[in-house]
Amino acid sequence: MPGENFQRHIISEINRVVLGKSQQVEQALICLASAGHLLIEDIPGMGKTTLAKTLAKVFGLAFKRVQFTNDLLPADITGMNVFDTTTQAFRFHPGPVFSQILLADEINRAPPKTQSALLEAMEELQVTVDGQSHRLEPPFSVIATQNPLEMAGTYPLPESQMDRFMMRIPLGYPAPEAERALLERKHRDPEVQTLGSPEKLLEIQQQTREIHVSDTVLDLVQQLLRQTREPGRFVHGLSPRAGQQLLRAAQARAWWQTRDFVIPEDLQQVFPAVAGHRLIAASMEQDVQQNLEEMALALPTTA
Amino acid sequence: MKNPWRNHPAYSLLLALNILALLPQTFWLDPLTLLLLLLLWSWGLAWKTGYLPLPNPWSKVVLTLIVAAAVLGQQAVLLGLRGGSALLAVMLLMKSLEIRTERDFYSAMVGLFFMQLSLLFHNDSWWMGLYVLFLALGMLALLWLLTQNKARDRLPDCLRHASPILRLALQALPLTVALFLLFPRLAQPLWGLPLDSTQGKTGLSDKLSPGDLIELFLDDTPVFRASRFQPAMPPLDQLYWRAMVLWHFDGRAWKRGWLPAQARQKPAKDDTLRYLLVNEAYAGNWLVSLDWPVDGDYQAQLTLDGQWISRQQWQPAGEHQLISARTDRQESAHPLALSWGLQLPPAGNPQTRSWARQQLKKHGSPAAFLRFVLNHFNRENFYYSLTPQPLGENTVDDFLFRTRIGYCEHYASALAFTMRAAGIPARVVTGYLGGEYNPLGQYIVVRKSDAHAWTEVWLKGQGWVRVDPTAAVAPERVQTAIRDQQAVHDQGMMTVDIWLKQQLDWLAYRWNRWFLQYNYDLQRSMLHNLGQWPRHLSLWMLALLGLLPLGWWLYHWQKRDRLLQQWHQLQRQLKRVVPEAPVQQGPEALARWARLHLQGGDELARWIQHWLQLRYGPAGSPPLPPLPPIRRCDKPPSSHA
Repeated sequence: MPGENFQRHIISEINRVVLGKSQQVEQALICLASAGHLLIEDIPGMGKTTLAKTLAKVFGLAFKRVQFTNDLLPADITGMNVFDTTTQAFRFHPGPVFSQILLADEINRAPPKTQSALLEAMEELQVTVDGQSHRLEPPFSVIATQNPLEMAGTYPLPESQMDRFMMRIPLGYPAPEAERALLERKHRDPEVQTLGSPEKLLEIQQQTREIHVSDTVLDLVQQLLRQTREPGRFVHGLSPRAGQQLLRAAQARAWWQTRDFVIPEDLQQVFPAVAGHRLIAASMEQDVQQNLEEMALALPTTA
Repeated sequence: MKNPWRNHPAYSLLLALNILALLPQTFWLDPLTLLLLLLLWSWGLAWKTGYLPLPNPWSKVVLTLIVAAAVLGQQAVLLGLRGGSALLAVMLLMKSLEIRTERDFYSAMVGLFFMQLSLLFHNDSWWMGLYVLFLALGMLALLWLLTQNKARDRLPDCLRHASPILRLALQALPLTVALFLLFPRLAQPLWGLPLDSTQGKTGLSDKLSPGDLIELFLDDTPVFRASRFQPAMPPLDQLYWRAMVLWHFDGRAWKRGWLPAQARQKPAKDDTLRYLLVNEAYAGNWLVSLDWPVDGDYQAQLTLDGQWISRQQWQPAGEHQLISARTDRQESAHPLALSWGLQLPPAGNPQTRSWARQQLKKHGSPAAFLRFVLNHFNRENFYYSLTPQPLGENTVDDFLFRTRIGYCEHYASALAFTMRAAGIPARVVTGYLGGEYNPLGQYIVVRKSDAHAWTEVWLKGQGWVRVDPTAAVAPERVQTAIRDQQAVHDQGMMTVDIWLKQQLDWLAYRWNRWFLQYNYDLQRSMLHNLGQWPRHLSLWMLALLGLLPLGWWLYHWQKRDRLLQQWHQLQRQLKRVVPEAPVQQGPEALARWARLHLQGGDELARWIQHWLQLRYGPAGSPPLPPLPPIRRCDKPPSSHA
């Protein structure tokens, strides 16, 4: 495994800045390492921006942030063609999407048209302006946030678009010690060291793809997919794409654990976050997330 | 959590099979028990359709106690066959009211299987066999349903696609037949069926008082069948099937007695009659044989007065090769027989006594006197009727001089008494007369309604002579029915109902001979006839069955998961040294814990990593080193977590 210490360095560097969120940091890093997009669902002020910024900084990635509002237009994200009087021609003026980490704050406030412009970029790695396609250079990851409580005047993402996100995680309140440390900080957040580079991240993304997956683990993935499709739990089961994403996430987690093969515990760890936003409970009294946690726990770890 | 079984088609099928298995029990269970069973079953139905919830645990306990007490309270014999069946049925229905898990369902199924089988304890006729076979197909369907992912389908839709069940059943048929034929049978059964005292009452009794046989005349149940007469079948009216000899008369009832056993004698060759007798099971220590019995393969003693006495009070269904003498009765005069044959109660029936003495004096010889009495029965106004008037205290006087209406037992009893009163030894014999010839199977079926009683009289120089006084009064009782039947047969004028009756009886006969009576002896003789190999096959089958568990174990031992065993070994050792170790967690979590909490935990963590590598990593890793020693941390765990 190349640079066993590299993983540990990155993780501890981020955890130095983002306090008491080691699990969320791990999930975010998994998304990043498997070229996935992350949906964070929480109320404002929980450190979403800090997390996104720190992630970008640590890998030396170009970071942009867009605050989604209900009057945001697709062009505000993708960019637009502007008439250049000196050259007498239209010149493409790239929008914030031309970055490497894009923080899309409160994505559900923007109208669907704007949302879909972003989602096209996420899925296709390109934007189309006035019929002309512009490629986005990888690495490119979106970290979108969504406020689950304030629903008035929002446009909740339909499930088909939720599917574009690899994971959805809550941030949650920090633990008491972490919060104390946060309060005791004299200055602004400490500067984070840049340990990697965009090239390095691409290399990591390639490496995670090659993490070995044994037949047993594939069986377990299928078992989980099958379980979500059983009647009575959810309105519909997980799609094959969700299964691919689950496996990719497990591979990335194995990489971060400096392992070159996937173990069932990897699946256990990523499954609820990967599956949670893609499923709807079959009845009111059932809780999707709790159901998924139980399924993950029931997974045999030494199968 | 909603109970998933409620809408499962398997539960509908279980309910249906339950009621089908209860249906035949209406024949032998009492009304209260049946009502309770029906109520319990309806509860299941009501739950299924959403009208009632399942009983909660406490009410279940109470309900069980009440129902069990009510059912057992109804039974004459607490742990008899009937009580057992009733209890089984109740428990089975209770079980189907507490189905929550798949395991519950399977236990309900096992109970149901047993109940279906227990139907055969009560009735082992061929049609019950077919019925149970049909139910077994239903059970196969149930098992099949459980393996299908059809939790939400409706039962009829499921069963429409259930053709694999029939195919499987047909595939299993050859093996079933082979097991039935070849599976080693025991000479003595391991356990017997408890017999309810109420059962088997309607049969010949060892006591005969006026009105006793009437119950039998109305009962068409076959008692036995006889075939393969050699050299030829005697006419039906000559077939006196001898069962018991009644020696002792107390003024009202004749009671059974028997003389010592006789040495089996060989009659003259041209006087023997060989035949095969296939009997149904019945209660009693008597065995039937054609008058006059000489020899046979009954496991019983043949007494001097021509009775077979078994040591058991219960005769299983079986078939027997018997030999009778056609004419030569060969009965030696035992002194006991002559004294028993003259025994009379000290008082009673004075009119008959004096009449007998007078008439004997008038006719001189006992033989002439006997002829006179039979003629008397014939000429005077004696009538044959199955509904005679009740007799008073002096039964014989009443019958001979007042009512003069009766059937075989009245005549047999009156004749025997008259003879004794005149000082001629006499006795009453009960058994069956004739039977019905079945041309299909070429055998004679004898039913309970063929029960008959006749008299035997000791005449000097002739020995014991069989005298049937009923024939003197109503020859048609003895002959007409039989003659009619033969006429019908001879002229080919068989009505449909007779034809059907004979077909069904033939089926029952075959079922008895081929299926029910297939026991140790038959199996041995069959294997013997087939030669050596089936016997070996039978032994091999036994050996194979014994080896199956061994094979199963070997297979699993061979296919055992070495790595998983090593993991279990780690869990065990860890648990022993550090009881609070989180051994149920995944390997990685356990490695992390070991690093923090164990002395030399890093080594163990590396071992775990290696284990994971072997289990989930790419092939080609080096083999696992032995488990490092596990030691508890002396110091409290460092807090750099």
